[in-house]
Amino acid sequence: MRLGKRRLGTLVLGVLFLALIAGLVACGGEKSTESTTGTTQSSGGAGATGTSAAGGSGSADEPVLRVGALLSLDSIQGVEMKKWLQLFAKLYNDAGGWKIGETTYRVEPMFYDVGMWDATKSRSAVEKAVLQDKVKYLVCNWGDIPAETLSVTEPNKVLWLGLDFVDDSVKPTLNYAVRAQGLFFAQGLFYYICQDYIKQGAKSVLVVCPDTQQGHVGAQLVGATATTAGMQVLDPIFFSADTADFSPIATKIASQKPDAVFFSYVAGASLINAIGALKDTGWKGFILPGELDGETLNNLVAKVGKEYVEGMETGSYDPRPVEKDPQTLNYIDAYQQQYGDWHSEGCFWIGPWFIFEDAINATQSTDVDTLVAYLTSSKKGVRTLTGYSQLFARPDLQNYKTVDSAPGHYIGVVRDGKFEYLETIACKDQYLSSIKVYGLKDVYQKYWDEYGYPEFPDQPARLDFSDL
Amino acid sequence: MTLQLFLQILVNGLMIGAIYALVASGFTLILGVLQVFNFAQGQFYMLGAFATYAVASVLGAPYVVAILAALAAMALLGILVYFSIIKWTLRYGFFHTMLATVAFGTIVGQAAVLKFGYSTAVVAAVVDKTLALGGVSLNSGKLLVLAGALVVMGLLYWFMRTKIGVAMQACAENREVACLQGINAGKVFWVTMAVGCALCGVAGALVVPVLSASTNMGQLIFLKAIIVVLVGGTGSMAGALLAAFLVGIVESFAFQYVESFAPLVIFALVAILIYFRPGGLLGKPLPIPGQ
Repeated sequence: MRLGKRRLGTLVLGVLFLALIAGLVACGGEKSTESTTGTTQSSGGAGATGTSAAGGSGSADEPVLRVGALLSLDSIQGVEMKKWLQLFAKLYNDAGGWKIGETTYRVEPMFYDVGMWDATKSRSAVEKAVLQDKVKYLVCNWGDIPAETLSVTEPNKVLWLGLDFVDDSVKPTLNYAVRAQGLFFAQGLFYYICQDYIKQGAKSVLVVCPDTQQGHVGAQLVGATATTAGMQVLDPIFFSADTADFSPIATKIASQKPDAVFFSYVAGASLINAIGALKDTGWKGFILPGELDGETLNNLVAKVGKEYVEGMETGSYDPRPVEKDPQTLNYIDAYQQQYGDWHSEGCFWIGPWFIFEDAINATQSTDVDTLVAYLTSSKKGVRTLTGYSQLFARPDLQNYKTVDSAPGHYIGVVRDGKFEYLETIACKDQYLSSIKVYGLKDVYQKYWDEYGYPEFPDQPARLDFSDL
Repeated sequence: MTLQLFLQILVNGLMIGAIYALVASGFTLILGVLQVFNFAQGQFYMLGAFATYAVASVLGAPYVVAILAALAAMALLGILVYFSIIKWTLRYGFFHTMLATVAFGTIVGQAAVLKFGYSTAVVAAVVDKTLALGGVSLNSGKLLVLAGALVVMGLLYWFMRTKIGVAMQACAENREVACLQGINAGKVFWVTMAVGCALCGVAGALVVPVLSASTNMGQLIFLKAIIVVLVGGTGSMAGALLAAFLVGIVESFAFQYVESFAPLVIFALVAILIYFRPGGLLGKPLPIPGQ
């Protein structure tokens, strides 16, 4: 067969183009993970949506502990959570496996891409995980619809340890669901910052959020927290998630003349552009970005100048300048060695893994019912990458099992363009401030009278039960 | 509403319109001449922004050099895409080409995520001052985008009057007749891809000192570019320009009153316009496959 000069040229161009794409993908891919798709003894292999990856070598007849995760791989959080789970599995596998009882397991994380809050994709991903791949534990999630997930996990007795922005996963009727990463008991961060800003003279606050489920939940919670702390809360502003230029939003913010602006669920480029546009309007006041990683802060300072963000308090999920716990430091080192660079976006949301790991180690069992029994009568905090996380009951929903978590958070202040660590928000403060914000003291008091006050990790706290 | 607030919202709309104009002009050019609905158009905008970041911030070259580099890189990539994808799918029809560009756009988007993660790329502002005129704040960087958009449109206007530009217009008008007149359609097509993609590259380059670059910026703006093309009319550069500013202004005012329902207002107005003028303000109706 002979090819003409033109066709040959085009073919060469095509090959070059494909090589360029392949090169780009290869440059960005994880460095040394080995795919072990479908080589395990426990069930059939992963197919179109489910992929597994774990370090270390494994043979086909080695006991395998499959840990599923429903993640949106279109999101930074999902990508980062996948990287962390792969790393945890690798650390176990490189050390010879995870010894549970008398058996040592090779850990095999299974990932299922769920898109972004797409009910159809969520459903097919969880069906694949549970019904086809026979995954018994779904640990960590991002971007799925928990209500869809639970309709499959519950009847199949699959342990779900996940994140849920509404209360679908903490209903008393559920038996195998634990919201190991939730924001219901997470009002401490905003409560602390509201208190600090009030001390500095702030009286009114405007909450700005994307027009998403998260955004609306966030606006409601932040608004309630600010009101409880003593601030006047103006009508929140919701903006379309595809906003590129934030000038109209900034103009509207400035026209309402708030003392403080809280950006809830606004991160990365959106946050930088929003604060940049706010500066252009000439507005000056207190800003609270819900979350700020080091890279975003650097870019923000480059964009608006350090004077504009001086004194800005913010939550942070970066454990590096804070944590002294040797195990956490090991994880940070391992992450940096494995991936070369650092991203904080998954650090907070990976919390459920630690709660799962603690349950397995404490019970020395892989039996789902045993693990559920341990988790739902939990009495202690578990160390995660971002401080302690602790499970509590939800008596306000008539759920007396410990199924909802108060997560760890760091709080810091921007000084001279740099993030300066202020304090870690104690589990106790997360728990108590949330109860105070929601006005649930009476319900919880009744619960405490019957079950006793919870025990908290040994951390400095601002609040006490007498503050409620 | 005070006059000051009214003017501020109007200015905001013009600034947004300038960004839309740059992205939509490349999109409408390709749609008009090649009759290719290029779903990857937003990704050229994103790549242009990152190319500018790489040249200006990483290599430390002057910003003007970075703009030229983004322009050249996107033009070359456009040519590559034409010869490796568009040319081969074009013969099978509208939908094949459209799906091919969807695939290409998805690959580029995901490759960018894998390469750059969800990092934000910031290029130092070329001019960093906020001017205040009668209480209306004007970001000098955005004014530069507006000026840049007008200059690019002016150059495009001139280009469309050159020999190749006229040939492009002829192909857009009637491809068969243009070929019968001796116009080399193949050459016109790859030049169109180069120019259309280069326009997006320049858009990304102009915008990146004002709005930070992120790997999803192409997806975010693409829907707006489609709206602008629908309003302006397929293949009409003047229409795209007019529509871009109209959409920007409507978006800006609508946000002040209905916030996140602003896109709904825009879609409603577009629906009404398309009902009465299927070809948009200054163009012709979208090509219907098979007709």
